[in-house]
Order: sequence, then structure tokens, then C-alpha cells
Amino acid sequence: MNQKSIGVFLLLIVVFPKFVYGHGGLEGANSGYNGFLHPLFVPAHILVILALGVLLGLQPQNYLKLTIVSFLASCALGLLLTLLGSNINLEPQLLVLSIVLGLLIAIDYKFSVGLYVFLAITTGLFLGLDSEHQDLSGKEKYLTLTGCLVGIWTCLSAVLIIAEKLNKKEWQKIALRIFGSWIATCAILVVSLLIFAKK
Amino acid sequence: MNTKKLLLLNMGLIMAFGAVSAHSDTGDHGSFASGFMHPILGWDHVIAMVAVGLWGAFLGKPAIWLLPIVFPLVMAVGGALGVAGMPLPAVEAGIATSAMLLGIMIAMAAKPPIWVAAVLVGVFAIFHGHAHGTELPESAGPIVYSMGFVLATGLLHLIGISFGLLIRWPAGKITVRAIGGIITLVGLGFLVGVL
Repeated sequence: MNQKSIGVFLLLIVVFPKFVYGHGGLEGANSGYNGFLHPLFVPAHILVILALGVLLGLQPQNYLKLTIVSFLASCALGLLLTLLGSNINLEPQLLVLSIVLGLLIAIDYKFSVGLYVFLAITTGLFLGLDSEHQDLSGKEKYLTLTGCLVGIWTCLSAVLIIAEKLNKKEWQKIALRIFGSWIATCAILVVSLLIFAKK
Repeated sequence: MNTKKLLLLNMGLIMAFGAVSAHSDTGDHGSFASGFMHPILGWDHVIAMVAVGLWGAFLGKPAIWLLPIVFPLVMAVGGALGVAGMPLPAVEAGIATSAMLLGIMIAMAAKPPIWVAAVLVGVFAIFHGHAHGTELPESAGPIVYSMGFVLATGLLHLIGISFGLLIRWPAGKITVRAIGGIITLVGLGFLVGVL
């Protein structure tokens, strides 16, 4: 995917919610911005977005289009499914995904595009399903979910671009692999805490 | 990477740690700050993690980046054992021994095969992880706590690596080996209970 077009798109969607937020009088205007910020306030979401962004940033350019489209479609589907009121807590699953993605970054082995598409779809779906806003209804809920999708995409593409830019020199590649191991480490510790702390 | 830049970064980190240490109690257990402080407040952990970085630099590629990847990952497994409440004998002695042996490796400029170094560091990481895992708070924010904790561990490795890059110069090599000797003595001090 063309980096310039990603950059312009990113800029637009960052600016757009700002406009929405600026119109305090519009009904439901704040909901879109709240949804936009939602992934930033959920640590498990940040962790998995960081991991997927870096992993995709390390992949060849021709992999990107398919994985990004798959991710966005599955994320949108997950968000739509929350309208059914499923109320599923997918934090443990997102953390397990972070472990897998972090380890894939650390080992730096080039797998087939199918695996990356599968991981992008799973991550997108889980992120969407885990972004339910039970306390909202009607227009506010739709706006929040739309903002959420935009927020998730903004964070992911920002990380992806940074990782792609950093994937040039030898020490930068090593730094990204170490970063991947850190993500996996964080996630392993928290998953173990979720599993064992309640016992 | 430019060595001068790394050394500057290193100095900045040390100064930052000093400033952070001035706050004796972060109070908010389970936060990023308390997670970040956790590995730094135990000197036995600090010297062992710096030693991992130093030894990695001594061993060169690929150990210079492989050891800092192996250590946190295996440490997380040790942490999981600690959280699960699985007993591990002589954890504190294991941590002190890790510092002592890593110090010896650096002082002697030992260069074993990479898999030996990785296994050795991995075994030590289990002890460090277990100690951290048993103290991992169940309160709010385990993810941000872990992020702080892992970041601090990684930065300690980075300090070790940046000092280790001094081996490019003959005087630097002697300095690094001397630091290894000091780490050995400190590790021994922790092991026998003097420190």
C-alpha cells in the first residue's frame, strides 16, 4: 500500500473526529470521539494493536493490502456483532494473540501470507467484539462504534508505518524483534495472572 | 549504531533512574510506574540484568540481541510459575548466583557457543521471573504494570549492552572485564548474605 496515501488517510481520520468533537451542540457528537479514543484506554487493545502493527510492518509490501482489508472487515463485523448485545469479554484471547504476534516478531520468520491474513482477521474480530458499549443506545452507539473502528485503524496504521520505516537498518530490525519479545513477555505475565490469580 | 549516542543514552537512563529512585514509595501498586520500579529497586536483579547485556556485547552477534530476547521471554515463564504459586527452591540464591556467574563470564571474557549462553541466561531468567511473579500485584492494571516491568528490564539490558560496546577499544575491554569482576563480587556478597 502506498505510504503517502496511508499518511493522508490517517491525517484525515485524525482531523475528522476533532471536527466532530468541536461541535459540542451536535447530538451524539462526543460519542464518536469517545469511540475513537476507546482502544487507547484499554491496555489489552493497545498491546495487540502494537503487536499486529509491528508484525505487519515487517512483512513485504505485497502482503499488506490483503491483510489490512481483512483486518478492517473483520473488525467492522466484530463491532456490528456487539449490537446483538453479546457482552463477551475477550481480554484473555487478545492477550494470547499478543503472545503469538509478539513471538512471531521476535523469531522474524517469514510465513505464508495466509497466516498473516488469519491473524489479522482474528485480531480484528476480537478487537471489535471486545469493544462493546452496553451503556449506549441508538445513534450514540453507532457513532461510538464507528469512532472505535476509526480509532483502531488509526493506531494500527500509525504503528505499521513506524515499524515499516524502522525496518531498514540492522539495529532497527533487532530493536523491533526485541520489542516483539517484550510484548510477548507482558502478555504471558498478564495471562498467567488471569489464569492463576483467581485460584 | 553510533557508540557515542548509545553512551549518552545510557547516561541519561542512569540519571533518570536516579531521579526516580528519589521517590521511595510509588504508592500506586499495579501502575506502570510501580512496575517500572520493581526490577530497578532490587540490586541483585539490576546487576544480573546489566550483566546479561554486557555479556551479550562481549559475545557479539547474534548474542548481543539474542540474549535480551531470550531473557524476558523465559523470565515471563518463570513469572507465570511464580504467579501460579509453584515453588522454586533457593530463588534468592539463584538470583545472586546468576549475577556471580555472569560476572565471572564477563571478567574472563568467556565466549561459549551461543546455545550455551542462551541456555545459561534462560535458566537464570527463570529465577528472576519467579521472584517477580510472586510479587506481581493482583490489583488494578496488571498489563500496564507488566509493561513498566518489562520496559525497565529491557533498559537494564540496554545499559549493559551500551557499556559492553566499550570493548572496541583495548582500555574499554579492560574496563568491561573489571565491571564483570565487580559484578561477581557483588553477586557473591548477595549469595553469602553480606549485602
